Amino acid sequence: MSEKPLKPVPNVQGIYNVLFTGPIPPVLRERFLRAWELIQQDYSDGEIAALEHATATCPDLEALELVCRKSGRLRILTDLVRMMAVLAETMPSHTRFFIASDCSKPKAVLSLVFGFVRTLTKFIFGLFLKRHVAH
Amino acid sequence: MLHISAEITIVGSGAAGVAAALRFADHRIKCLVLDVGFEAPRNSFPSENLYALRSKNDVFWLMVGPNLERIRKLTKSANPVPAKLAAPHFDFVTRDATRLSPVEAHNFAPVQSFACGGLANAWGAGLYRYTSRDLSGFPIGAVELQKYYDRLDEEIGISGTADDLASFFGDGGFTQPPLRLSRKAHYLLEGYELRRTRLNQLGMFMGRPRLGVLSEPKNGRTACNYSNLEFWVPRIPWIYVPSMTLERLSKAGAITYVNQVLVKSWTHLGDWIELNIQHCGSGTVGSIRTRFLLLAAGAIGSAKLALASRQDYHTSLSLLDNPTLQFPLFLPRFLGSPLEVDCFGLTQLNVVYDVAIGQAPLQGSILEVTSPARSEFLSAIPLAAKDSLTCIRYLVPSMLVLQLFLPGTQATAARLSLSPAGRVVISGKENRADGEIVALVGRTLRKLGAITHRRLVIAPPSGHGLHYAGTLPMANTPQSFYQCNKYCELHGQQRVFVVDGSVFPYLPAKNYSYTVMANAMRVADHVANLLQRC
Repeated sequence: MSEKPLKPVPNVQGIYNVLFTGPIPPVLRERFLRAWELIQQDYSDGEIAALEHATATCPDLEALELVCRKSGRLRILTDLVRMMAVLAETMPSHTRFFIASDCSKPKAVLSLVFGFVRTLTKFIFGLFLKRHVAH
Repeated sequence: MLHISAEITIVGSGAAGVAAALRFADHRIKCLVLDVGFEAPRNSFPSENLYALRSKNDVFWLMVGPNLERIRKLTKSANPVPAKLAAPHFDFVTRDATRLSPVEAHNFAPVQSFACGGLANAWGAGLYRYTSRDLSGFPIGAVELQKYYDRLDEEIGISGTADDLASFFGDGGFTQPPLRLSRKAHYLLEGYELRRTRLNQLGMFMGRPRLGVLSEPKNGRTACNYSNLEFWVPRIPWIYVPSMTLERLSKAGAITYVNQVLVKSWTHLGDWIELNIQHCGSGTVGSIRTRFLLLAAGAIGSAKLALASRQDYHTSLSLLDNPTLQFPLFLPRFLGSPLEVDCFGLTQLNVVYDVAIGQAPLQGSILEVTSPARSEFLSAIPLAAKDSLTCIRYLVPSMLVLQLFLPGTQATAARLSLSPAGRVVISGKENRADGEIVALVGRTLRKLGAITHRRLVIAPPSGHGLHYAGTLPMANTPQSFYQCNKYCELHGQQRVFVVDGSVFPYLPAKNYSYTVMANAMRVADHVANLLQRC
């Protein structure tokens, strides 16, 4: 492990749950923290504090990430969610989230329509959650 | 410290340098090839299908890298690179580039390589002949390059076929059958063949790519096994990269290859040219004396050497690149289809838009989406995170990507200069999507059952075409110290030749790699003649 002082560790479980349900596998947590150590220097103390505040207080990080992505705020949360996806994809236990094993046109259409509707509700809910973003 | 003499020295081991070395070897002339030369990792890589592998195994080491190489490339502070160069085991291609050649860039995202084999290590191996029309702004013609293309066909193994693109790419030179198309690409091509007349009237032509990718075994290299490993495994046997030829020539004793050497500048000393070099490992300086010097360090690298050798911190040179546009294509016919895991993961088809007389044609490559990581698509999907994953599962398998090249002209050129501190300074122009071109592409592809939308079109940063050219252009009568004659001899610099893309005065909207290589061989022939006369 590096000798540099680590900036505060983000809410890894919360970030994992933006994408996936359930507890984060220990291997994935460990890899995420290694990656965090690598990239933390790209973020200011203020950005990290804003992330800490958001992950500690916000009841729906997925909704918050969506609205912040649209408005360009709390960029660090979007970046960490993407980093989580990059790392999770390498594990066979998470392949099913990225590659469908059961394919048919009706299932695809229904899933996508549901996804669009779900995103819309998340977005509306997220607008109320923006107060959890400090500044 | 290193002090060597050589008759002929080539600086750079990319496509141009290797092609020149190959030609000298054909003449049984042993040249010296210098480079920094970072090598591809020699790990034991898988050969089985990517998706079969990842369904059973943790592929962290393959897709992220043991030292988190892929994460490093995705950080805010990293220089943006195209997706293939972000793959962990392609890290060697751009390793230390910003340290060895610092660049201050505005509106331009340069990508440099100090690897053995250069940027070609990560190319898509699209290898296209230039026609007379493409060369209309050049002081050389297509006939002069013919025999060099033929020689390269023999060395590399080109898969493809004569089809509607023959008038744009030439109808010969295929030493191998074309690769098998993916289902979506096959569907598009069938649709094109049914509607050919109408689409040709609209200026659209479609056909198979010409690729340095083996569909059949050749010279100990295995044929493509459709495993989708192209994004992840360097020096995959079926994709030709110039370092394969370099290695072969070096093992055969046909060239002398010296790596870990950074060339800083040159000076003329009577009949000799002295290269000022630095050893990358120890940092110590030295010199190499040569009778003939061939610059193959890439348009940025060769320009830097030319400016540094004259200690010129004022002149700015044109730097061309092909601006690109990326069109995500959605094929509703394939919605709900499983991801096609056993196909070639790169270029499936080419399209050419030849719309108006007097205007240059535009070349596009239609690429499969099966080789990149699925998470790569997350940033392009505007839905909530979990719903974006739903899109990746159910929508992305029905997609392809069209990458369209536009001509690289003075109108789109960046400017390159050298600062007294030795830093390259590049000022570029923003890459923007042309509405008419976007509309034409959308209209024609819709007829084939592929849907796109202007809001989805991506204009990558200037510099991401990776077809750098034009810094030391050929001219019939060179006027400036930064122009070359038709044999690519630098004006005012006897026996200094430029063989990379620097010499192109203009960039047609077409992959230029094959023509860079053919021209490098042509120049090598000229230098061989001069040497024999000495």
